[in-house]
Amino acid sequence: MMTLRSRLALLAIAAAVALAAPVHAQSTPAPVPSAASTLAPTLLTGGLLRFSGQLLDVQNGYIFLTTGDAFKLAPSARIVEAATNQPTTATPQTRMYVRLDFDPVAGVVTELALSKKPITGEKSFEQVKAFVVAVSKPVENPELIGRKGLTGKPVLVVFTVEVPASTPYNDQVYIATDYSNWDPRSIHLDRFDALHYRVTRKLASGTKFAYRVTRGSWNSVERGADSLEPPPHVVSVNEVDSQAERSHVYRWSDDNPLNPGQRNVGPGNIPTPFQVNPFPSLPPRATSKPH
Amino acid sequence: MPIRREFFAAIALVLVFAGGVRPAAAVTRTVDLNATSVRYFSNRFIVTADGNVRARLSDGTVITGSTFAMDLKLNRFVIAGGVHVVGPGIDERGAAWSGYPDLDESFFLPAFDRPDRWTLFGSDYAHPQKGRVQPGDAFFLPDLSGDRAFIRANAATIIPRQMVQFSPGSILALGVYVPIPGYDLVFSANPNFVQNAFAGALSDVGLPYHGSRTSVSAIHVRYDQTYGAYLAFDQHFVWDKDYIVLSADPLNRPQRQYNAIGFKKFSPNFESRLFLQESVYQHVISKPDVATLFSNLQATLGKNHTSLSLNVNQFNTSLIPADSHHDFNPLSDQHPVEFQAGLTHSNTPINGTPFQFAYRIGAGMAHNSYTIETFGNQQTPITTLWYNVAGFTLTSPNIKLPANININASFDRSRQHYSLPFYQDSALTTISANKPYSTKLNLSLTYSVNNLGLYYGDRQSEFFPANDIPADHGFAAFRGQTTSRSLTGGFVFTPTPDFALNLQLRHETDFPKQVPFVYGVAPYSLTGDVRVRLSQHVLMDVGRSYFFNFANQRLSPQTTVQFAP
Repeated sequence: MMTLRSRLALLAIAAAVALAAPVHAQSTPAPVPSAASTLAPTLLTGGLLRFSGQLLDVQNGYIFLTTGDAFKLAPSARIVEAATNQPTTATPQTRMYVRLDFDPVAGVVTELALSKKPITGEKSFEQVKAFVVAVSKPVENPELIGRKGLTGKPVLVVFTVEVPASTPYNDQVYIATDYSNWDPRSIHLDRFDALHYRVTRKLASGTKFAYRVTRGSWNSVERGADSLEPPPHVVSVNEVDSQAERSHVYRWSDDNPLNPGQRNVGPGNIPTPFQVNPFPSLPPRATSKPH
Repeated sequence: MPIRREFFAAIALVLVFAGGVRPAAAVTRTVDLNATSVRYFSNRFIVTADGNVRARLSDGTVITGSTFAMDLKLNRFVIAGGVHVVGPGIDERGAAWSGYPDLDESFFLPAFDRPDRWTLFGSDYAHPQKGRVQPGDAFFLPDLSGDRAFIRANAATIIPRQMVQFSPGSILALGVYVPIPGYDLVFSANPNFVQNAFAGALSDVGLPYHGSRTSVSAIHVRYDQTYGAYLAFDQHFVWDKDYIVLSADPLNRPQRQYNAIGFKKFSPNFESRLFLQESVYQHVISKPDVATLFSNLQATLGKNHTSLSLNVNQFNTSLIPADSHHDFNPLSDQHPVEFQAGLTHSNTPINGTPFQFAYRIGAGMAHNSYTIETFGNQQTPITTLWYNVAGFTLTSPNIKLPANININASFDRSRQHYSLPFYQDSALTTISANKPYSTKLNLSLTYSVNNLGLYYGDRQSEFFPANDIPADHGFAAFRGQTTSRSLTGGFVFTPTPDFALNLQLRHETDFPKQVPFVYGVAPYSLTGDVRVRLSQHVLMDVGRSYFFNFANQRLSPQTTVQFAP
């Protein structure tokens, strides 16, 4: 018999389901600037061009950036601290972030500003492209032609897992990924209804990883429709706003094939000298009294 | 005793051979790294090195520079700053070198009188392709400011796509760097490296101290409520699809388990798994007072949606000779065994309906010459018990209703007959509806009825006589058939991917009725789970249940707290 309290709880849930108005999806986050677009030239007053990036090396009068581009350093180039614009005794070192001021006529770097933090900039690389120094003329790379750029923009990836009907309602379901060293509890999913678990994660486009669905342990992992261990799923996050990843668990590795929901033996649930139960597949012994 | 000796002799043999296996440099591509400071950032899968960097590639090429960075997952590395490359067919200086082992290509920025860009294919350094356009991020150096290294060392050997062997160094534990002689980090995409042969523990920290492409040995520091903090050991041998895991757990407690799991995929359609567990009561490595062995073999033949499976359990209740004065196990010398064979068919759509159908049939046998159990009031001893099972599941997919409500249902029914005047019936019916509000909020309602019946024919009242218990007078009507009805309301709120609130309110109505302190689950329970992202790489997950004072129990004994990336 249902108590008054349970009826009220039911009523509240039913009312919430029936009356709540749908909330419209908000627009997905704007893409973050890509690595290339952080290299920013700016036309300064006086005709100088300004450009920023990360330093690889300074050798033989050239400055190399992590884009692979090299620029000629003027012999009289000033070295300053980026934050204050004051001369500094610090020497340019690999990994430092730099801001370069170019003489647009000579195409050489006249001032080098150093920083330990990324120097955010504005627009594109095009204005200083002509100042790049290289012995060899650029040769087309067929491996890069036609490759769509993946900017690393945040993408909402919705993982939905359909589980067997025998999955106990209180069981937790997780995704184990190779990016978390296959921790069987890497990503915790929320139960959406009797058959579905779901979670949304914000991942950078271009991210690629493998995953398996677990119930929190490597002894309770997904099995395929043929009851065999399937290869891990592979996700590639595309250059989109949101992406759906669906997977279907047909049974769990610790399910008894003939009695789904009844657990097979494993390191955590096997008989021991201290808890003898040699027949885990048999039902609990019939009893005439409650226990 | 002979079984135990053979078991451990086999384990010892495998361990001895495994210890000596190292990949040959000519075959395995490696990067041997030395520097003033080598660091590993576990949250980013990045190894860096700074100061007098020297990287030796497996083809003999040596690259020196001032800084190094390798993204282990993207599998590419950069050496920059005063780079000098010396190898077969090359002796050049430049600004940076980038290696892409997956593409078998390297990119170089030489610095002669004027800079240039070179692309090198394989180990053919004598014929660089000059000026070839390079990937825009070939020399990208990650910004790790604000990240704390998990490992600090002076040297590392990187086996791309597999592992990094750091030596000697220190690891970050509880905010402090603890010196260690070495740490073998396995980051392989092969999940067989993490197959687990341990029983559960509340926490587990593994310290892999030796590894190769196909093996890893680790000491674990574990904690649970029974043993407190203790040590354990495991050894993995791993191939693409197969694995062997051996473990001893706990190492420093007399009540110990030695486990072995072997998994072999013989073909795309056939695989088997063997699990052995010796449970002992043993001080250090002395002769055990108690030793039992449990063995489980599973073999599965599967294709499309159908599988044929065999499941065998054997339990040796004592491995100690019966005349031993150590032996106090009352079940000495028993070797009960159980076989089970089954044919299963997974969800297949039923033509013309939205439903899917699955079925299972099988048979099994349990045998113990010393009696499995006694039957009935006459205590008839049963030594061999046969049984057969048949069952099916009907499942509906999500069906969309108006107002964005989805509904699905499942029905499972099975019967298990025994070679006794006894059979067991079970039925589970579940119906569930959910209403998502964008991706941020989901409400659900699930109702399920679980029936279980134990039937003894004419002897039913012998097994289930009318019993009146003061706490539940309705129990007198109990004749071996139970019914559990549960209604669960779910609320999942995820305003952003970095925050989630999950509440599940459950009401359980059972027959026989739950009686506090006697049997049954709490009639009401509320389970809450909150996930909050604390930083870019740390997500905190806290969960707990409330039982509305059933059997004086309010909150669940433990709050689960987990940190994840």
